[in-house]
Amino acid sequence: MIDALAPVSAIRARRRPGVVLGVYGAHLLVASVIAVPFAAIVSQRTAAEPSSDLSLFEPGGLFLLEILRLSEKSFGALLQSGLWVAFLAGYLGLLPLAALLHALSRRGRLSLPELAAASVRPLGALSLLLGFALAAYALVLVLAVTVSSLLGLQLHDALGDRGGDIAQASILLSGALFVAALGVIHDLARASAVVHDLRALDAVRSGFAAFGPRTFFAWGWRLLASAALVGAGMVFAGRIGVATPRATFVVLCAHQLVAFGLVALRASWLAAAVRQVV
Amino acid sequence: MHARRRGLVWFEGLFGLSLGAASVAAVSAFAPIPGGASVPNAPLPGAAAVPPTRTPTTASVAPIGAEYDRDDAMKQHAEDVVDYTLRASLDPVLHTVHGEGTITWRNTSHVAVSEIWLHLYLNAFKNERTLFLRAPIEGGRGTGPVGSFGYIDVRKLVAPQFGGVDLWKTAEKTTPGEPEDQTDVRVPLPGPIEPGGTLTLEVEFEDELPRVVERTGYFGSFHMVAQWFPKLARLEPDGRWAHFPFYHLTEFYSDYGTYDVTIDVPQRFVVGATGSRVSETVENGRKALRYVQSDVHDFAFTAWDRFVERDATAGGVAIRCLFPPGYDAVAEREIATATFGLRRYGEAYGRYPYPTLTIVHPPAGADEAGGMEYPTMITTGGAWWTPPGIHSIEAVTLHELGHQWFYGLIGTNEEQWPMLDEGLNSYAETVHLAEMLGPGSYVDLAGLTIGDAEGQRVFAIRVGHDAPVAAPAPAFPSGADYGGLVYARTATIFQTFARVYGRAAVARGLGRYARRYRFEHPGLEELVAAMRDELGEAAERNLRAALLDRGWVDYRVASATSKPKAAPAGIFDVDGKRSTIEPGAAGTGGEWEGWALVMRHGTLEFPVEIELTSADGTTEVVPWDGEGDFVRVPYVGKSALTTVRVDPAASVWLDENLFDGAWRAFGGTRAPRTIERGTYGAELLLQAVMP
Repeated sequence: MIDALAPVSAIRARRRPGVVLGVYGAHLLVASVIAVPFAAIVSQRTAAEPSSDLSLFEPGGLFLLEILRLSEKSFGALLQSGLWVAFLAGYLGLLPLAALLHALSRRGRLSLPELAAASVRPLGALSLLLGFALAAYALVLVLAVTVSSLLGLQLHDALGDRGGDIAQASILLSGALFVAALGVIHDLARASAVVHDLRALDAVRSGFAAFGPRTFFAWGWRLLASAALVGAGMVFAGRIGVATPRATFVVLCAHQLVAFGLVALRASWLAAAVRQVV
Repeated sequence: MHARRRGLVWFEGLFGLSLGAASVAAVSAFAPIPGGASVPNAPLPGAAAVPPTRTPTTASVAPIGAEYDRDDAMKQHAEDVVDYTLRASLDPVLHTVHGEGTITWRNTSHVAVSEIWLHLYLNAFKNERTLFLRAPIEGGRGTGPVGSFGYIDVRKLVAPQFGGVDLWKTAEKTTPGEPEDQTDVRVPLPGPIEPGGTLTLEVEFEDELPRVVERTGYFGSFHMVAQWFPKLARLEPDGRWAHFPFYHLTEFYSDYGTYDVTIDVPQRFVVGATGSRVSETVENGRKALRYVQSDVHDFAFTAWDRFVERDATAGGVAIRCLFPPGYDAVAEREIATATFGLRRYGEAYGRYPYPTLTIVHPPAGADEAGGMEYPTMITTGGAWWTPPGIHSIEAVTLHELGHQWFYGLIGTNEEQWPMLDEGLNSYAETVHLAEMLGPGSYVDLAGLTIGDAEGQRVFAIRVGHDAPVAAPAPAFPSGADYGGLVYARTATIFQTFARVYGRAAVARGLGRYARRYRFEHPGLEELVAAMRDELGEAAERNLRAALLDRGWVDYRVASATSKPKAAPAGIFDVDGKRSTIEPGAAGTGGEWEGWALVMRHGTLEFPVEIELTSADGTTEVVPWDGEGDFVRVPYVGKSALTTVRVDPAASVWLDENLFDGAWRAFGGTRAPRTIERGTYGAELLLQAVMP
């Protein structure tokens, strides 16, 4: 297996557009599973409207609030099931992730059976890594929230409302940054697990060993780029609106470009992670 | 008060986090009858006095002339009924206030009186057996655990004209029928006070403030001192005292007069108060600030050693904003809103007559002191970091400012008719906030705009069947109902009236009502008469039903159909000859015919339009007066009838289902925009959870 590793310079997301597209397709599929039931409930209310669901997007939100009021219980139930779908997707998403990491690290053409096998092989290690990571995230966040809460009164007394809030937010932000660093290590460990077929604990060690400021920066700039992409999509959609079917289609295309861009940026980061561990 | 205005509270309502549905049955004076009805206006057990008279029907209310479209017809001053000259010394460490001074009261009724009623509302926080603290109300202001108790002890109540006897010794010191409550106290007089006669009282009292609860109290060194002195109830013209105990959902009612109050605090404290500061003296590390204001019916003050102050002027009114350090941006927003509000409320409801307006933003932790109105002083609230796109700061400021009119200048009985101040003020808030901020008057973030009025409508519809809107405050079954009906439903009723009968007519009616009854104490009938004069008798019927009888409405398109117009088929005997015409015989020029059946459910009858659209894009709008249970609208066109929409402009905001007023010939299950946004939103979510 090691013989088939790609040279470091060739480990790029752009070399595997098909796999990236496949991951985007998986996201789109799961997103549709979550969204379609919501849309079905909406369409029950708006199907008879002369302008279909356009009224939901009117300034002021009269009809948007009305549909939330009328369908409150249905939406609540769907939200719960949607979160379960997202949770399940969070786990099953390890399969395309493994396939992507494998594809990024290998040279030459890859067959579908090979990708399928590569996606299943490290599932045990990736599952354990996910469990470790979630536990670590929870621990750090609980710690940050607890410290922030315990110090809240003293901070407010000493620094005033604004200073106290900023101090509390700084504690929480520190926790979030720590979680982000753990997330980067988690990805490095995942890359190690897939590329070198490591067990979970060995992969964790490898992840910590590969972690450094440059790695964090490599992840960070892509996160900022993702946020900028989402912002640009929001501005564009706001300008185009949804008044006509044509405008709706244009916005759909723009949003899906953003969604693909986010997957591509993620793949680009994972390629960087693979480069760190090969 | 703006009970629901803490954050996105109507979103809470939307998603079920309501203020609570606990009954107020334990409040014996207003105990609901089993089965759900209540006894509004019921006399308190054992009370010699009775609640105020309801005003007569509109037949006896004189029309308001067009002269009240202008300010020069308004009263310039209130009738001076009760004057308070007090001195208040605040101990910010012990959180106590020592008060003393003189109350001068004039009998403006038609009958002699031999008793007075004092409201000692600080006693509401004395122990857990008071009416206020034992009322089973959940959610909202004043329902959290008590931080510390508070009370007012009257030390002296001397009437010199009766030989200097201390009236407090003979006072009945508990609320009638409520031996554990001391907020509504009857004081017998040794002799009668004739109509036009005056009673002078020398008073001395001690307050211990609670930790901030239900508008008043302390938080650290911050002090909001409200309902802090023995206050006379209002005597109605027929000689009945409008007195009532302190209760969760009830606010206040009193006579106009002049308040001359000297506030004595440690020198480092910054003070804000009702009225204008006329003098300041400093001695022995303390300062005495004298505030004087005529034509008002209450007095409150705040004192804190950490207040930051910002001053501005708007239309000749000196605005003074007191806020915690770090809230500069919020203070700017409040001043800008008050500047806008003083101008627009002044134009709509008569100019603001006082020289000052004080805005107080309490610190975090003292939130229950926020969102409240006092004459010439309002309290606001909100975090220092409230994003510019969340307009809760502007909403609460505009709402409390609006109370300077609907409560301050129009002195309605807040216990009897809370909708006359909170409801009308909520409507005014929605109108003027939209003027100021546009369609996103409550939320304007990331392309999403939510209007204040639209949000209030959700709450209004949710509780619309629970109780009448125009009812005494203690008659509401829960805080959620009080908030939803008094605030939101009143606003939604008037939003509907403005859309159906004309915004200008409603604005004119409210403007005349506000100017005509400035410095007076109008009741519901005065409002109804003012609206009837502008909108007509059909509107009056709707207004009465909406306010008094839980009026509701739902317009829906029950069915519709169309088909190619054809000669009538069948066997016809004409002029002694029989002829047979087969179905599907030649029609008349390719025309289509059909009908739409539109139903009206409910008790409100608003005129609406019905829009019929043909396959060729032609649109026909048919008016319906809304009377009767249904209307069948005939259709004739060049092509098939494809859609029918009742009330296409969405004028009737009281409509209980805005989505059943449409029909489509070949309906699909299309929601293309929703599925696009929903899918994209889920994709963004998955970015966070999928590896």
